[in-house]
Amino acid sequence: MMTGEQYIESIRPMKMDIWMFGEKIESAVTNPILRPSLNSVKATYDLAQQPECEDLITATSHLSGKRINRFCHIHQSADDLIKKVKMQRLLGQRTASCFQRCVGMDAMNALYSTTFECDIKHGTDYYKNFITYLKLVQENDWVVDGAMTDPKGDRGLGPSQQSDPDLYLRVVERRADGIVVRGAKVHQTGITNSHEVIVMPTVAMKPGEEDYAVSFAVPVDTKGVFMIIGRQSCDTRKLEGSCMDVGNSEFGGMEALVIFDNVFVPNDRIFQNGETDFSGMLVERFAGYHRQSYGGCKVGVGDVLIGAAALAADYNGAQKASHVKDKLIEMTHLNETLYSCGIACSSQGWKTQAGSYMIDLLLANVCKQNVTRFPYEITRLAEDIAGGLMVTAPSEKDLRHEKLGPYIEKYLKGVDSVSTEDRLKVLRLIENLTLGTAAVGYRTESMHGAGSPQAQRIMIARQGNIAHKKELAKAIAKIKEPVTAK
Amino acid sequence: MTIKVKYCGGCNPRFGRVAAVARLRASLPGVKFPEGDAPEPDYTVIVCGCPSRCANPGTPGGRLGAFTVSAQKDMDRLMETLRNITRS
Repeated sequence: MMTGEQYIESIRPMKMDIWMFGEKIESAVTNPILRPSLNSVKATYDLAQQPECEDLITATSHLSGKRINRFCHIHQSADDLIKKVKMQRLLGQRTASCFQRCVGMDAMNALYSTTFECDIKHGTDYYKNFITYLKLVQENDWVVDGAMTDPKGDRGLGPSQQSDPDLYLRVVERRADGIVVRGAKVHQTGITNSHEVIVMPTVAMKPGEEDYAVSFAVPVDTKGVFMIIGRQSCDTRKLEGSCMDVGNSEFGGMEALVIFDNVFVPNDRIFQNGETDFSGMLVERFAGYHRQSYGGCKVGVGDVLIGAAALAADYNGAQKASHVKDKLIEMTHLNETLYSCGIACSSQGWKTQAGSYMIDLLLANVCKQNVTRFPYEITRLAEDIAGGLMVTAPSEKDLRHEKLGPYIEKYLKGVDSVSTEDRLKVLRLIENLTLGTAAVGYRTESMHGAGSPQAQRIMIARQGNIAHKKELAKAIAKIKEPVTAK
Repeated sequence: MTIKVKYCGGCNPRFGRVAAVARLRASLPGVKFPEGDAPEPDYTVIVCGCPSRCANPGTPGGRLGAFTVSAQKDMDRLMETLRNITRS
């Protein structure tokens, strides 16, 4: 396994094609807007080295028998699935941001079982390709981005019906030694901090859409791959050099629009190529794992936000007010409910044909459906407890100013035992999480990441087994006639 | 005497694991606490942050046994056990 520093040095020499504000970025390692997101990924390496965290952050590879980072692991039991969620909570607590490495883990676990079952039906070699690739990932302790979401153009039309056929990533050329692909993937969290990217289809494909049923892996600095960094609220505060004003100066997240401009993929890096009957399985399994993930990572970030709200109450002298205590209880209740869902869908995990473990899909979708709601209520309560100063406080520069500083110290003081500076620091952290750069991960990503709310409702409808519930009701009510819908 | 400390991952600890071990070390000045994959220790202490005690169950015990703690009352019992071992 790499240390955090070794990870940074492994990213530094990569020749990634990154763009931001209309300019090419020399390196994700040295850029002040991107560096906090790199630090969050680095934490996944640092914690693996710490005795008090390693039990969650590491696992034993079923391929090599060696100790590996859990982010490179294929789940071998329901206990592995539970430990994954616990690991994510821990990392959310330590970074208060998206640490970006889950998406690759979820992609690899989805591909492991899907390629196995596809090979059985179609006689393909994708599982062999994937195992060879997985060994590389585990041996090199790589960060792998999982790229699923296509731009999708007109949502009323399928991939092959779009006026521009590139709006879903597709194969544009099949050669003896591989394929050439063109298209884009949006919302790519952590891609500038990744060694590799795994591409998957974004929806279940139909016959006739073979060119869109494609999955593969390439290094992020492959020719033809380039990234356009997404803006985040308050992102340029990171250029101002203020530790206080950014709220979380060490950690963060990043997203990018990733273009695949006629990218060549060699045969041994292809995991799906035209098998439309397995694109749905890959999407469903990836989404299932990723919906489980949110029952861990968002809970860890929620722990920090609850702590920050409680500190704000202390610093305001309001900690004894019954309504403040009740709001903290409600925030905790909501946060632990999310965690309960993450643990529940893991504990009900089942063995796939390939031998790996898959979460319970119904419970994972219930988990993510709750995640689309509860962080919003938690942030609302945090803002309620914090008070309006979290969005009206002057800057750190003003606090340090010879003339203004003493006035800010005097008039923005809370309780005597706490400095004005510390009070402002915790308010900035709440601002960061509720409407600053970290709100990308904690709020809107909670809504749309791993699928928007309606995607979960469709899965809940499919898995909900209403027919069984009708039979239960008929048995209790002594109804003997079959139920017929009118 | 050597004591190997094995932690759970600490996802939502309700017991201060690292502080508890620091207190344990301070109260046993003559005892060594090897880090990493040391040879078989005399005793293994598995320190968990909550009653689910999810630390890797495959953790090998020490030559004289192992003890799992997840609350202060467990630490008190551990200390008594260690005192008995060192006396005998």
